[in-house]
Amino acid sequence: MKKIRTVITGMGIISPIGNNISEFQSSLIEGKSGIRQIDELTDSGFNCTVGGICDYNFDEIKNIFPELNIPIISKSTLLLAKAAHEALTTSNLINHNKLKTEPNFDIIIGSTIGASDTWGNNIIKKVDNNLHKRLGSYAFEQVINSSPAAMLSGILHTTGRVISNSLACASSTESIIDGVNQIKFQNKNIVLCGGVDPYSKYYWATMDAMRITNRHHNRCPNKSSRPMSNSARGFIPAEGSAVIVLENYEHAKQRDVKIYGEIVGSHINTGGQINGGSMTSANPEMLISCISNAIKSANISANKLDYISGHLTGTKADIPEIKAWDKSLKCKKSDFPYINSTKSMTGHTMGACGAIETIATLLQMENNFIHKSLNCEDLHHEISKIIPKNSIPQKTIKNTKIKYAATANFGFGDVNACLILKNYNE
Amino acid sequence: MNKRVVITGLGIVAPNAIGVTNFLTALKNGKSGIKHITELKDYKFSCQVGGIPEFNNEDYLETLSKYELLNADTSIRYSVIASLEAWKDANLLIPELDSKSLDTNSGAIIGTCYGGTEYFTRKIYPYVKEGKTKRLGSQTIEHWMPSGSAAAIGKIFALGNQTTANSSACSTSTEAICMAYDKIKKGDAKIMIAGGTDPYSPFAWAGFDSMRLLARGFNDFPEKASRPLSNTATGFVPAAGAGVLIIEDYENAIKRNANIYAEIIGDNINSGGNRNGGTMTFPNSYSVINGIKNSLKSAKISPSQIDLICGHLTGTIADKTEIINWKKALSLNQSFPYINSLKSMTGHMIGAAGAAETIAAVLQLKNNFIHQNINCKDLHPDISEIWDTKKIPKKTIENLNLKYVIKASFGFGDVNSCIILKSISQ
Repeated sequence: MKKIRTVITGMGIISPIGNNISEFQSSLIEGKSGIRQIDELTDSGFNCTVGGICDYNFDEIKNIFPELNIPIISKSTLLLAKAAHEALTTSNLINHNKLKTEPNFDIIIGSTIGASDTWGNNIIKKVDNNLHKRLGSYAFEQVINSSPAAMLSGILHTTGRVISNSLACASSTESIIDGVNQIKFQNKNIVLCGGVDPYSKYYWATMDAMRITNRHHNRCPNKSSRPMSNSARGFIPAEGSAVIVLENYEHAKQRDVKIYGEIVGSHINTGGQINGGSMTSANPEMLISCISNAIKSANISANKLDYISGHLTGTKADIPEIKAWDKSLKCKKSDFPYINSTKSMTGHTMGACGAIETIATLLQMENNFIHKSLNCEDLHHEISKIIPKNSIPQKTIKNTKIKYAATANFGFGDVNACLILKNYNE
Repeated sequence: MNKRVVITGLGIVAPNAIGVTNFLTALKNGKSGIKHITELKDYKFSCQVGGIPEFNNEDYLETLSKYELLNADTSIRYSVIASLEAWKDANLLIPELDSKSLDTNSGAIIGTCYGGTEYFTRKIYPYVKEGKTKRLGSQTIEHWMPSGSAAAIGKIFALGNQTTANSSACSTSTEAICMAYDKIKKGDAKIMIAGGTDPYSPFAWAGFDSMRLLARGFNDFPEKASRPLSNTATGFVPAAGAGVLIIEDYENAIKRNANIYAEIIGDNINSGGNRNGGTMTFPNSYSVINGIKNSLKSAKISPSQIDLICGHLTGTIADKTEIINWKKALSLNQSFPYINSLKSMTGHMIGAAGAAETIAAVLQLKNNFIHQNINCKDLHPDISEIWDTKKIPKKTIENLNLKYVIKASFGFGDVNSCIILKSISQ
């Protein structure tokens, strides 16, 4: 049987450090922080009053797809529509918002919580005031967990599977893995994968209350997201969406489209919240097993990896994560591949982070650079024991080749997901 | 080589029964679980009836406190109790909470449409509104997030395989079963806990009420309100609950000498793309028919072999379209299979509907009976013109010899999923 190869032929993004791929790439190279002060959080008595917000005029998204001009529209749907439009455009699948391809492709979109902003700011108020009949026909389809993917399918008139998955911070990594499986095992040609989570004070409040966000850098937002730093005190919540087009290699060749990279391995598992794992921390053994199995499924040896895009959020979980990478790679300290944290710039975009970091990896591969990891000048002493300083770029490294890269995400519920990417031009 | 996949355990929390034994009796007796809900009257709903399981925390105090779920969203509590029943029913051992061994061959996919809404409105929204975010406590996310059920279940059963949540509106839990089936068929897992759950929440149901999709005119006769296939049906009746199945690799089930309820032999997930008559709220018949045909093809059986259709049938104008679609998809002319609707008794359990109906299908297949459709003595004339009325049972029919049952679900966003079950004794 001929091996089916899965390649990436389209990418789209809206993030705190860029509203499209080109802006996002410039920010990665430059090392720009997208974190800023949010007044509403100060007013609501938050400990951490900074976050990553997309600087975008959302009415413009409604111009991209006129179907989004409805009385109630969630920010989840808008963010996803923006990212999806760019991904489909770069993959040459749409022309003036109309599909140029068979509509039977799958859409798989991950989200950790979804439209809690619309619930809080709109629906609950109306119901509490006996005005729910004014919600009309649009409210419900904006707030259910499957609405962003379903809205997108409706706009594009696709007829494949429309899957909305939720796996905490590994949501969009899971959606990419599901997509790869659809192409490898279910004969699908094209799958649209990604994730989205919008800013919502209701959502962010729950993380603030858990004291897992950084409350110590409210006055210097661009210093607040500090993965791997000795002075990291929590992650910084953020919003965003990213979408990639996964495609069967033969199909992509036939269409003669640009290929950004290949997904050659993946694995997903759960730690079972035992042996050191809990709802909020990972069972180290299963973390290692997830990474190792992903590398194994790629049929490469661990020393082939040139670069790791870590989950690295800026909490105390960074250290066990680094230890897990080290144990999975089984390499000498001096041979440790480059590793960085895109979250040091974007903040933690929750359901979108897996797809955003996959895109960051692909851009670094294609353009031969490794972006700097912000705010870790004071590398955590536990980390510097394992990784040599020059493997964690303090300045963006240019003219370096990445052939194989790993990207992983870990989430609440002790869940792990890992992807192995290969440079298409190598 | 594809693995054979069977069902070895069932668990249910439904408006008309909690527990499989009670549910089987309720099915045979045609017991309605629909009641008048005072809160909906206070909120000035047009439809003030609904199906809420008679589920009291006090009855499960020990279990829920042991797993720290007393305060969790209703949907999480439902799904955990249903999963415990299903797991025990499958004769599997519940590990001690402090046990060190992890079951990497077992995972979970527990879907939900708006799970978490109940917790959000009870706890998060009021605290954030009053600026008391710091008092939310540290367990808010795990008691709220869509993957909260899967995360709790993963912890209870020490699951090491994929443990996640999906969401596809009213098609959610049939889709979860399809995904679990695909995973085991491929050999990626040996046991998957699959199903769905949704809470009672006037805020979620408000969306339905404002869309005028709910039954009107039955507030004084709750048990008469859910009327699929009837001439006097005026809309569906919303309901809450959870349904969970243990989906297992056939050889694994045989090896451990498990009780096998039925075999899953085919499935399909697709969408209608909001075209050809399909909208966010109404299915594209072409895709519905295509999905049913594809699942028959994957099961390698002919339509004439189907003995029973467990319909989606909600009690709206879509019932007639569904009946026409079944007729077309199965190319029926002279001889018709039986068709029934569980929703006539339970109401529409939304994210749990597909799993509850699959459990009903499995119980009918195993026990060779077909449950009655309540409230359709006045069959819609258009429907009686299309279908053999003798095959729409108004009384439970026993002592049959059932071999193949088909179950489909259709949801908001024009999404469809379908599975085919085979009796194991044949």
